[in-house]
Amino acid sequence: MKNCRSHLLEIILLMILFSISSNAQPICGFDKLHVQLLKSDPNYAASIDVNEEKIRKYIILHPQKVQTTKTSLTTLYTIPIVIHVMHTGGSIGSIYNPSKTQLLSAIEYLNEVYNGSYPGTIGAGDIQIKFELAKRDPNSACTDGIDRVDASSLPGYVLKGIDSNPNNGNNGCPELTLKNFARWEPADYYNLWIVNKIDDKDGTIPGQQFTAGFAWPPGVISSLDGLVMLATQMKPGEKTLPHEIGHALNLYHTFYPSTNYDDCPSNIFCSLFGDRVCDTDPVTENAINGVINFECRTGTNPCTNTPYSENTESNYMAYTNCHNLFTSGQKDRMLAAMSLSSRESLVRNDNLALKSPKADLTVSNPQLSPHSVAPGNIVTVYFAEDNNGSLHANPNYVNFHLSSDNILTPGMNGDIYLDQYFVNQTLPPFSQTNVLSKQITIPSSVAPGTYYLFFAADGTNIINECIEDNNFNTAIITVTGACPDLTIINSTISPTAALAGSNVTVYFKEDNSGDINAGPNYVNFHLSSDDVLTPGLNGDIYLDQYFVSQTVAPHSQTALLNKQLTIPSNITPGTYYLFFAADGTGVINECDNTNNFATAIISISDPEGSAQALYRYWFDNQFANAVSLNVANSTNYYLQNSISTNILQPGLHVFNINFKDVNNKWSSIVSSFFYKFNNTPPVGTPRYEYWFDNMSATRIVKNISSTPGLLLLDNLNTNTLNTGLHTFNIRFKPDGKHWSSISSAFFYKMPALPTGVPKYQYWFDDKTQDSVTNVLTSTNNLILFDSLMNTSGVGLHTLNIRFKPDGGLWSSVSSSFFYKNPVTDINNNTIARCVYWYDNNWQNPNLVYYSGQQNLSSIINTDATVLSAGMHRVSMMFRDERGTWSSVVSDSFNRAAVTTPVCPFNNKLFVNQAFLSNNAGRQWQVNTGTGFVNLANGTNYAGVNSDSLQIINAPTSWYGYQYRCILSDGNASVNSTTYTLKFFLIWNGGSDTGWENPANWSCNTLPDGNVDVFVNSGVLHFPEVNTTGTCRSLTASPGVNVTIKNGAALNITH
Amino acid sequence: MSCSYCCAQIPQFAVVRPDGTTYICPSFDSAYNKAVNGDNIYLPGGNFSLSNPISKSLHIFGAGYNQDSSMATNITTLNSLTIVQGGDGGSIEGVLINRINPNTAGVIFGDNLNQTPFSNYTIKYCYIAGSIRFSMPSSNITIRNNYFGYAYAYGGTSISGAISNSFISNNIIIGSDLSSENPNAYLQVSNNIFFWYTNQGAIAFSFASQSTYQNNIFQTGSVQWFSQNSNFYNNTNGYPSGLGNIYAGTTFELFDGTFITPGPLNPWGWHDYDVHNDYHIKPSSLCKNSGTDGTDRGIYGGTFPWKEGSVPSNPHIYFKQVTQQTNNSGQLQIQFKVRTEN
Repeated sequence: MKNCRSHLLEIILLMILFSISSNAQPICGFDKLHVQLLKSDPNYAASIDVNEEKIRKYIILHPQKVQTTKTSLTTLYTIPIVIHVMHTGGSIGSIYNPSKTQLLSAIEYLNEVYNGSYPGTIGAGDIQIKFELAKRDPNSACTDGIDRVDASSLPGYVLKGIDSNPNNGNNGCPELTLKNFARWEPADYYNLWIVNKIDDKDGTIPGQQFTAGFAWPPGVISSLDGLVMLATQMKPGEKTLPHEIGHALNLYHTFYPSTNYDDCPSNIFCSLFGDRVCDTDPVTENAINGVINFECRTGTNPCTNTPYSENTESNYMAYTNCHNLFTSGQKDRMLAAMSLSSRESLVRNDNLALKSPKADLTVSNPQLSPHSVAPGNIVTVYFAEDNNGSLHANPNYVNFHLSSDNILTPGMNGDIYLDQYFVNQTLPPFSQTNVLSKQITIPSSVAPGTYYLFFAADGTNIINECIEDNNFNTAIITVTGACPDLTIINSTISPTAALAGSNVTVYFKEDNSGDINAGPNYVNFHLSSDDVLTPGLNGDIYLDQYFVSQTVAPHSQTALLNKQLTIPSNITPGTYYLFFAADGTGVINECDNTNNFATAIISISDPEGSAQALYRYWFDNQFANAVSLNVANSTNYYLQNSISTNILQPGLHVFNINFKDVNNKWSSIVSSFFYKFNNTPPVGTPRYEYWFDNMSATRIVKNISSTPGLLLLDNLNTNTLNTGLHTFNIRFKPDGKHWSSISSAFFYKMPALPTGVPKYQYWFDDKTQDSVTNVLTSTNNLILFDSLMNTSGVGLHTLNIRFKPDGGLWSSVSSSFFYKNPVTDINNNTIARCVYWYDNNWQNPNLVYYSGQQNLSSIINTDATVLSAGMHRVSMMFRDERGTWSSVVSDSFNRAAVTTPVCPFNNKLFVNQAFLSNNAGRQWQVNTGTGFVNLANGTNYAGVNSDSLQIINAPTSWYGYQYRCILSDGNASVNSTTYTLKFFLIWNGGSDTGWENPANWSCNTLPDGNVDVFVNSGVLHFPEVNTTGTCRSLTASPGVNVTIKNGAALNITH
Repeated sequence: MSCSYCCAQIPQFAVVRPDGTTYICPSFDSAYNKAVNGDNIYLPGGNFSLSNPISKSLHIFGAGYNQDSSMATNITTLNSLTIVQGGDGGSIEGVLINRINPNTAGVIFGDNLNQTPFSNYTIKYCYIAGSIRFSMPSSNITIRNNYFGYAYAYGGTSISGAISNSFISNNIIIGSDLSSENPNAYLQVSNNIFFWYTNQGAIAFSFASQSTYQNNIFQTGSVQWFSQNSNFYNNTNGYPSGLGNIYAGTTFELFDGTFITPGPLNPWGWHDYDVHNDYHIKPSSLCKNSGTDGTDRGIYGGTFPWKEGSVPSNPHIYFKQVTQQTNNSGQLQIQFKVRTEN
């Protein structure tokens, strides 16, 4: 047992320190560390992802746990923590080596925040997670959970503290180096490292923004797991500790991942983006270029266009200075985090971190009676002694002290030792005594007032405990001043039975057990039908009072007093409590006003009762059915009579009788056993009767022959019963006289044989209204193989089917997915056509038809002379017989110069590029401007019914005629590509420059007004028109000169 | 809405009406804008994105995602895809669908669990590089013959969200699980292969409750207890798991004993998925012809057997050659090979 006052002064100093540092600007290092590790360590990223999914699933699976009310006050988890104070050699209590009191007060603040009891807390309130300093260290030795480590040998630590970012060039101590220097097993303890500085800042410079701490979420490797924070921030009211613990339990900043005032986080899926919590609106980090504004924002939240919510602005996970809540969504995540392996291990039952390695005695449930007592009087205390440690606790004393405040300093500051209780038993680990009690006298010297009555386990300090300062518990007691205390003793009444309206006499003494005289006072008398006096209420009747004219000295009593009372004449006869009330008018200021009453019992009768002598009798306990009979008045009455027992059943009974004289005095009651025989002979015929269930009213009676040994074999009709379980009841009267007991038996009425039509019924999806019912042949083992009516709509459908194979009951509905393919009469799908087009001219494509090939390999030769020379693009797509197209494929090509026309240039060959079948008929057609007509072989045409049409000696005036081939096999017809007849000549300049010289032209032919002309570069001579030249169009390559001599002309007709 | 043409180098997107009317558009956006309910959109090879969610009932065909099979067309890649109300009755196939970042799904249905239930959509022959997320209540969804890469989002869940009454079959799923936030999911999950994803340590378990899992092959275990009230039947596992299922030895023993060519073990002692391996069932394997319908377990059994190359169901051009320039007579030669698909 230790002195409990030692930390008071420190608390006061701490409060002063807090006010000094109130303009501090702490921020958190979580975001930078977390994001950096996400990018650099895929294992960490994956672990965070997996944990997120586990959390999501946990919340889904445990809504009853995570949605507890905020007032539940039920701790679900207690997390053991160890505080590594990484000081730099300073004494305990110095700035970087906080005192134990400071550390304990910070932990107490943390717990108040997390159980919702911190003043002003709103939101989710009780998170149901508690934090407790370890009691057993990793070596199973005692610990107070505070590990003080001189870390001045760590590189860079004394000057710079710890680096939150290894790349910041600060040259402080790396995080992992510090943690490796002092770490307790992370699976058993949650590690807190209290450091001098983070990134060269200790949080003491007013107005300076600094990193106050950081913590890793579950999922980080165990060597990094834990919380780092500045020693200067480890104090009550400073939110760094509850904030960082939030990170340790999987909370993000409310603004995550925003990094600036104009950077709104996505909130499309609130459980997946932002802070992963759905009851916090997306908000920006209220920062400009990393400088935080700690004010709580009001007005419109630009991320939602709604007003800012207190759920984000007053949140412990924000940077604001108005923090007072966690939300329910955050509570969900924190409780779910406790299911993750690195947190679950902390709270598992076999973790010994919170189990003291020695005995650990405490006092639980301290009570006392009375709570108010005068000096010198006795009070009884009740309590249990607990052993929360891992070793047995030997017998010991529990001491009792009185203190005017809640700090016990035995023998000092007015604190008074009262007494002790010897706990004469050995307490096993983690056990407690039964409720113990002890009468204790409050010293007469104690001044009136309110006191703490201390219960001190191991009050003589004979038990070796790890923790000595948790032996205490208290109860509040009020010590009164000197006072009288009146009670009634020796209370009697005579007679105890009286008629209404008659007089009775009460006898009593008034006793003063107080410490001073009790002046004259009244003793009041009341009648009550029960033992609770409520004067004037509930039928309680005030009768009279007695004036005690004398002064009753302390601890004395009056002589026996008496008072005649009149019972009210209109009172209902019965038994009553007659109450005696000392100081009935309340004129005496007593120590205890609750002990003034005493009672006596009185029986009150109806005064109208006759003076007739009589007797009354009754059977058994049936007094209510007593029979009264008058008798002649006589001093000596002799009764001899026969009394009917018809109302009684045969068997054992009690006869009760008493007598009354003319003075209404009753004799005692005389009782006798007697046995009533059943002398009624059985009547009737032998029979039995039966019924079903509880329907005895409808029982069936059947006569049988009288027999001493009946063997019944009968078929009973159950037509009136429903299918299912029933009870058959039967009894027998085989001798016609006595019934047997009822014999009952369960039986199951089987359903009637089905009479319906065997059938099955099916429907698709949820369209029960469209169900189809088909009749079956009755069978007890149906194998169905059928094609069912199809349903509409290509795609996934559900077939639902049920059966009634015997015409009786339906089976359950069986459901199966099936996929409906498009309806087509094309079994062997083949490529049907190709369309291709040049450049952007997709609206005028060329068509090529195919048939019969699922896997087509083909070559198309197309006429590209319609295109200008240069780069072009050809695009094509294919269609199958079912009408489905391929993707578009494209390719580029160069439409090169045309250098080799076919001679004679007015002969042409067109090749059909539409294929239907080899047996299809071919018919070439021409369109001269008035529509296509069939061609016939003749002077200018050959092959009009083949794949190749030859045009012979066509006049150039046919320029522009269109040709196509129609293929028809009797079932279908297709058209080939449409070809346009063109004529062109190429200047070769092989002889000279003369336009008019045929030798300079391909095919040795001069162009006319229906012939296109191409002049390419690289020829020996460029053309010169000497007289008159004519052509339909002229196309010249770059660098080509076409000269028209003076007086000459070149007519270009198009 | 016009469908303008800009220049020769722009890829060409075909929009085809049910009556055959065809439009060629220069971008996915313009094709989408041109399309109306019931249309087919044929995507060329290339990497594309769509500016807006799909809110029309469209059937989208890509040119395939397998480099070997789509050499002639190039593969079709979408950066992501979002389908919202109005997209009911549509489908997509033959596309590699990426995700915007590792924290998001590649295919997202809706954005609000309170939306009107969405129904009837098919995803097949696709490579889902991320995952499919149902953020609106969705039913009658068919997800078949797809390849799912490892899904980082949603804790490595390939298919997650408010999906119910749907059919998931013949998929290859890497290191991920299925999940439905609908307590009455009623999924049919059949003939899939679930691979362990070694480096991430993900486990192949399934989380959709009230569902039927059959004929699947789990490289690890079908962790039955995560899927409440579901029927795990006739699956093959690398862990002893579930009644009526085959425990085929440890994970690598399972693959060696089950598949024709499971490929080599990786440095961690597992078989990784490789498109060039042969995941047909060995004749000696218990998975052979032991599916509930008498076909094999795994992706080559069931109603929709795996198709080599995973090309979509429209005609597939697998060879093309266009001469670089016309000949002296101005003739252009185009050579191609094309095959019908089912």
